[in-house]
Amino acid sequence: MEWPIPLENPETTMASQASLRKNLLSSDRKSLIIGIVLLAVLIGVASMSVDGFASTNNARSILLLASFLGLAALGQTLVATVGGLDLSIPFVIGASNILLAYLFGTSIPPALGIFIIAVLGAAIGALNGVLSYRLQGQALILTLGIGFSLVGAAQIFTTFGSQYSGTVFSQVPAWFSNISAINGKTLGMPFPPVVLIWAVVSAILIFWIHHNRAGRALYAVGNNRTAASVLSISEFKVWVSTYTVSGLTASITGMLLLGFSGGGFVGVGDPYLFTTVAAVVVGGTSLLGGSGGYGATIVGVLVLQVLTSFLVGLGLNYAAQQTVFGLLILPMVALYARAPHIRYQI
Amino acid sequence: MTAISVNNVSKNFGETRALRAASLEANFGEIHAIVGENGSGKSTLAKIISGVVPADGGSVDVLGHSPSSPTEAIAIGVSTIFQEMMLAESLSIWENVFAGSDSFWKRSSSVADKKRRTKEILERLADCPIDPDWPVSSVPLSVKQWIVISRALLQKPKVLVFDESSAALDLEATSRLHHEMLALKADGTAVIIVTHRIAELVKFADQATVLRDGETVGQIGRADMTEENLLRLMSAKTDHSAKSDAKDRVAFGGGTPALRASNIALSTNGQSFNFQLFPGQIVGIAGLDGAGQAEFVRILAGIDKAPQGTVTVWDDKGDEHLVADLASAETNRIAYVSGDRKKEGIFANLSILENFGLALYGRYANKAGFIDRKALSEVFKKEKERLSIKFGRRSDKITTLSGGNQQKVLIARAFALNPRIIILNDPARGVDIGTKQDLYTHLRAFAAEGGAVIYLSTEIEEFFNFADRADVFFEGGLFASFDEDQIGEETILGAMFGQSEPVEMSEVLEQELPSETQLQAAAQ
Repeated sequence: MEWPIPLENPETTMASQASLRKNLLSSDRKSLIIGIVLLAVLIGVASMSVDGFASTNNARSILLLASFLGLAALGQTLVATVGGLDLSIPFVIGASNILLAYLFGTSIPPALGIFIIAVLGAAIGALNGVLSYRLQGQALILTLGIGFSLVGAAQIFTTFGSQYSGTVFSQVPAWFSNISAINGKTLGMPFPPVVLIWAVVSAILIFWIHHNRAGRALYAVGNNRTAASVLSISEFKVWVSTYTVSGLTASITGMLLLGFSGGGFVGVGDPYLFTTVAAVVVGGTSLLGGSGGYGATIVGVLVLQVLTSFLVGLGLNYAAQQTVFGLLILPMVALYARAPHIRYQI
Repeated sequence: MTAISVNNVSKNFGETRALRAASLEANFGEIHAIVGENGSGKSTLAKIISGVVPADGGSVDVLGHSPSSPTEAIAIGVSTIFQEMMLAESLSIWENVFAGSDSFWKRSSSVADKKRRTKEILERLADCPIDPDWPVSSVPLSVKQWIVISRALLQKPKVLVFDESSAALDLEATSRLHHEMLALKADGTAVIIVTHRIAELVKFADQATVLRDGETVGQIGRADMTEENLLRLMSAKTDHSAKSDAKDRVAFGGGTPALRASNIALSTNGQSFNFQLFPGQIVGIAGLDGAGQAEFVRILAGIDKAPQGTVTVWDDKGDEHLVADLASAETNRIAYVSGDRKKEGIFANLSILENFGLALYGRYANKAGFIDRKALSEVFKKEKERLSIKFGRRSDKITTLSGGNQQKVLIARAFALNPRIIILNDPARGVDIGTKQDLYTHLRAFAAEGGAVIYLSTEIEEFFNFADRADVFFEGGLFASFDEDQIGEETILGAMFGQSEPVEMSEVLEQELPSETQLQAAAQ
């Protein structure tokens, strides 16, 4: 039988494969390590240059704010894993915040009110998922549009007969405030329960993603939709589920922020537009989908939160913080984005 | 006078060797065809002449130059009609026809003139009224093809390169195009045409360069140009007569089939056909690109739906089941392996183990969906040994493996599903010879245990010593079926090109002999 002659010099092929392997092997782990090192350096520098940075009080406030960002970025991570983007998160946060404050001012039992808002958040997420699946490739502007109209509608709804727009005052139940207030107590311990909730949710989520077939399906779809569909993994189900979770976690974040501040304010979610995406990217989850994970996002969240706290400690006002933050994200992303481009991996 | 002289050109795409030693010599005022079977490198050779891809080795002389880009090629007088339709859909027809003809500062001719010439040439080519102001998006596919062609013709090329091997033209349109080419030839243009349509080719080409495995195996002049001669040159000259020794011959046909496709048509108004597969049988599927064979195996695997007809399988008890979608294919234990690893096989960012496991999580997970990693690991170990997959750590990314080993992981994944029928869609594409041989061994063992195999390949040689039957597709339908002892390069290649009779000279003679004797008998 006549066969094509050997293709290439085997030695050069093997050498190039070995170097490729070196590059690819650790790209996920590498960004995680870079993140942890960066976090340690930031904490070190901040502790030395800002008085009181390394205090229990400051650690508590960093962890508390990190919990909010961590929960908001949970959905964003899942959505990014399948290759999508959810820009409705800040608006769902803002809407949930004022709607819950509004419900607390009615005769509806607080627990039922919380449940209603959570369902509403999940529904908005599902809507985002279905529509962005139908209109492929338009997730960015679509989620932004839905978020916009939601937050607008929530403001109209909550300000009937009121002269204030965007702020809602009502009595927040003490038990609910305790969950996410800076002086909240967890079973007598001096930190708010939301930190513990975040830790438990994170642990469950990471375990579930690794050991449940539905968790693995996220990576299958994020990597190669066609190959996943041949293995009868439903891209539609996966896609819609991640957006639903994203809507749910965003609304939970919005409600917890009500407990934190004590009054409903529609703009409370605004910073999360940038920070949820930044936490995902800084953590090392590719926005192209199929790599990274929530563990990485946790590192990203902590990096961002420590950095914010550092900038505040340096006495920068919000505008200056924003400038530094924006500029710092560039080298950080450049550092993380050094994983080989997808076209070199196939 | 020589227009093009290509000598010993080679070209590699990654691991694939597209051209090894291709040569071509074409004169002005000549229609020169490049022919060869799938993957013989004919399109690559055409692209080298038109400057689209650079050659790795050898010498290229086109009109005294060696074009390194399509722009350069156009500048020296080489026009190319590409397979892909490169059109700006939202622009008008005339803008597309004259795309690239103006420089930034200077127009080549007035708008009115461009519109007039567009209308004139397109109405002649497409044979229907055309308004040059129509947006391209509003015209049918066939007209779009003509727009691409007229763009090349209006450049008044000295050399025209046309790759029609997968063009969307029907027969009548093709003959109109060939007419156009004869006109160009009369003007002294060198016309290079890459084509599958050898029946028409022999009628109007002056020269034909025949490629096989990236090598020029011959050039046929006008006088010797017959379909038989072309097909003979295209097929390898090796002797495959030893094939019957290699394998015990089994007769299939009795008993319950493993799978049957009844009245299948690949398009709504396409010709319908039947297909049968028996337990223990290996059926090879062949055809030129786009002849329908790829669509067919995807239908059998439940990935795509048949526009018409049904696919039935029989289980161990002899009960009938319909295969209509992926779910029913899975419950009826049909496994599918794609040769297009990048597109529908691997998950590039995931580990070797994960790539293997993703197909199996359904079986190795409890009701809540939690995966039994230990059981999965056992299966992985078993299949890894069976297919002798070589890798460092199973947690390494799949992309650290060579193409052959990646393919092995995908095949291991299919075997681990414990299928009754395994459907492979060109699995040996870009895979080394060792892996290929291993694959044949495993598939034979699988068939020996009663499994059934459907094996689509773009390389006919893969069927020798391996397939029990070869089914050849032509123009969207099942065209011919060959039993093991009929499988040969010439028979299959002939069928791929739509020749109903195998092009064996001896057979032709045998058929004619009786008639001669009859004539003699009649004379006496």
